Amino acid sequence: MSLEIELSKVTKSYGPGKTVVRELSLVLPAGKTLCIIGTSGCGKTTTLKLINRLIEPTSGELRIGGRDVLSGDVIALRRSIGYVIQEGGLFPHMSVAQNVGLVARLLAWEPERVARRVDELLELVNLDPGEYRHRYPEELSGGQRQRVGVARALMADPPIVLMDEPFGALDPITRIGLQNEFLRLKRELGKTIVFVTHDLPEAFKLGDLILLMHAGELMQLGTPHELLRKPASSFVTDFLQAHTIHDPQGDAPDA
Amino acid sequence: MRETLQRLVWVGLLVAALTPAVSAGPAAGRIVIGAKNFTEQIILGEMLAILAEEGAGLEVVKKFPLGGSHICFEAIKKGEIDVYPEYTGTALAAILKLPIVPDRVAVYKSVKEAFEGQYGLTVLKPLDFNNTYTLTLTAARAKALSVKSITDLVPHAREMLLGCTHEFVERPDGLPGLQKTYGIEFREVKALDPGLTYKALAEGKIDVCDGYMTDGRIKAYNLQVLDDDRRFFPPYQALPVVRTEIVRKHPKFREAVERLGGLVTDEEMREMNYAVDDGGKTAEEVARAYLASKGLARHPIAGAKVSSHSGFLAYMWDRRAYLAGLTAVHLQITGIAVLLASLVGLPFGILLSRKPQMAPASLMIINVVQTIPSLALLGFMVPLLGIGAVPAIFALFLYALLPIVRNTFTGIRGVDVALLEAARGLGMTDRQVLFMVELPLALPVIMAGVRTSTVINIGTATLAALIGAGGLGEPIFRGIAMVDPNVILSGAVPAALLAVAADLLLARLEMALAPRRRSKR
Repeated sequence: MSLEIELSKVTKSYGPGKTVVRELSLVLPAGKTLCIIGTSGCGKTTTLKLINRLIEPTSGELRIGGRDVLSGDVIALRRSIGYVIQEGGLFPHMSVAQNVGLVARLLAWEPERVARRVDELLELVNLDPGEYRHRYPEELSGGQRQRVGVARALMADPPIVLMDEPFGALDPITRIGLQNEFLRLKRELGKTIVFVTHDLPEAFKLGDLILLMHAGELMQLGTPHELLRKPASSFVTDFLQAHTIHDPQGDAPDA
Repeated sequence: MRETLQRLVWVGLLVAALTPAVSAGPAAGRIVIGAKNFTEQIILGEMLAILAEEGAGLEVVKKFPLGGSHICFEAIKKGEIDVYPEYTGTALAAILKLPIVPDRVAVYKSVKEAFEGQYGLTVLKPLDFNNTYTLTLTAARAKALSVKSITDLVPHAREMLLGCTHEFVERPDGLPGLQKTYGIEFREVKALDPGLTYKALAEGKIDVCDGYMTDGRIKAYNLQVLDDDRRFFPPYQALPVVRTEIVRKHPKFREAVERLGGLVTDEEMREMNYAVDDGGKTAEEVARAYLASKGLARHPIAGAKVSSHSGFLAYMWDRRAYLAGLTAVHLQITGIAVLLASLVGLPFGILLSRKPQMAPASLMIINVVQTIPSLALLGFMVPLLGIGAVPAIFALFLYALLPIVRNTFTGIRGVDVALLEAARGLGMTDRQVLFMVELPLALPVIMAGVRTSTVINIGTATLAALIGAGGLGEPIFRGIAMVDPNVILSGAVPAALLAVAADLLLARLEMALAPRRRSKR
């Protein structure tokens, strides 16, 4: 299951001259992955947090699956959206199983059902449940913590997953391994995913759509190919030229 | 599951340790005896106790030493004690604040009238001796300066350091009146505990001290008593003051105590004081021996009790039951105070973490309470709450509050913001964030606050003895009053051990309660 996300003219301002997101409009079709990139402080993380209402917009509209979600129950909204942050954001006083099963416990699932689902998800992210279930976050490597973070986000099978620089603190080898697993999961699960990264190659590798932001404004929204072939402004060109980008259009296109 | 069980056991133990009731008020057939914090008062207190027990068949509760005339008087007014020995002059000048007159009978009459008319107290026959205030200096110094009276001292006083009791500094029949009458001015005035002044004088640490005429140490330290040549000091005859209700209920007690009226000369009182201060006898032994010699009490069984203690440990062992009782009371007072402070401080700390703009002002107010000297805070409680466990617990509660509130606040504020965001992002309600994330992660800091409170409170609670709450301060203050290091240590050592033990126990509790961060492997 996946749902479409639609932002229209969303603005977040902390007062005059302190606008962090300005009149942002976009539609992310169900099942697609949007990667948001941009310089530090461009508003990409704010945009992500606007979607699960960790930050409430000053104005504009937010619809998920065509339904306005700004007026509804914020707790229910968040429980229906998976959330992954840098280094996993795992609770140090909870075991792997407790971290992964957290949302299900909040939703008051039966303990047996929680345990079954936790094992299923640990297997999905390639962690042997027998070995890792009872471990604590401090006893895991960075990559393992990130896998647990992803498993936790998927616990209640949410239609949407938000990921805030999830692989940002990992070494390059682990990072590439997890990126490849991300692509596999994306194909297997078909979720709508919003993925914030400051790493351009990562965005081009993982995203069906790329949103390039600067100073709280949309610079360009399009497929990786469109950004490379039809940059909307000289800013986009300059930004892309700062990195060596591999056009994914040349490879097998996403189904 | 096992963890939960373990936690329950801990909490259960803690509650069990604290539940036995705090000592109740006076009951039928019981009499509560008070006395101030110096040797003579303790001997008189013991006399009253023996007379109540043997003469009137009452069950005796001893609430002494109490920290001064003011506390004794407040306590008897509130019915927290039933009887205590007062002095005619003290009652006149310090309590009733009436003009000072030199005549014994006149003083006795005005005190009796006021106490019985205004306060529901009955004043029994006074004893014979007059424990008047005096000024003393070493005999050698007095001879060198050829000073015999207070008037003689006036020209030398400007170079002298006066060491005297806190009461003497304040009382109208003390230093202020003395200054007015003689125009005497000292270079410096230092207030000391009554147990310490003579020793300080003998060792040359002070030049002059206030003295009690019947104090045995005046002779022992070879001190010169100065003549009150202008008859400033009023007479100070010991005066048993009883609540009128008790006199009505127990006429036998009145009879027994009145038999003491007119007895005990200056010399006899001085000898008894000396026997306790320097002769290694206990106040109880001395009191009993005197009463027995007058046929007012049974003679002590010969050889039943060795009066001089062979060593500190033997002394402690002799009094193990008494000390164990005091330790239990001490634990109760501090335990209840810390428990109450936790029950109030924890929610308040949480509230502040939710409204951090309130924090600086709130913490400052609690901090100000913390800076009130403990003895002052205890003294302040007496007019409001009387004496005994209740005001002591309340004062200790106020002291325990700051570390708990502050640590709860900083502990919660110290939780990683990223984790809070993750918690909210996963759809936790504010309550769930608090109980599932913030409190478990802040627990070590909060527990550190509880530990600090407890250890500070175990020390401060020794002062609670001065307002009749009992506990390990009781032997400490008796020991200071009677200049007996063994007695002091018999309170101080268990108090110190208690603080260490409590700290270790709470460290274990903290470990048992703290969320695990590592798997058992």
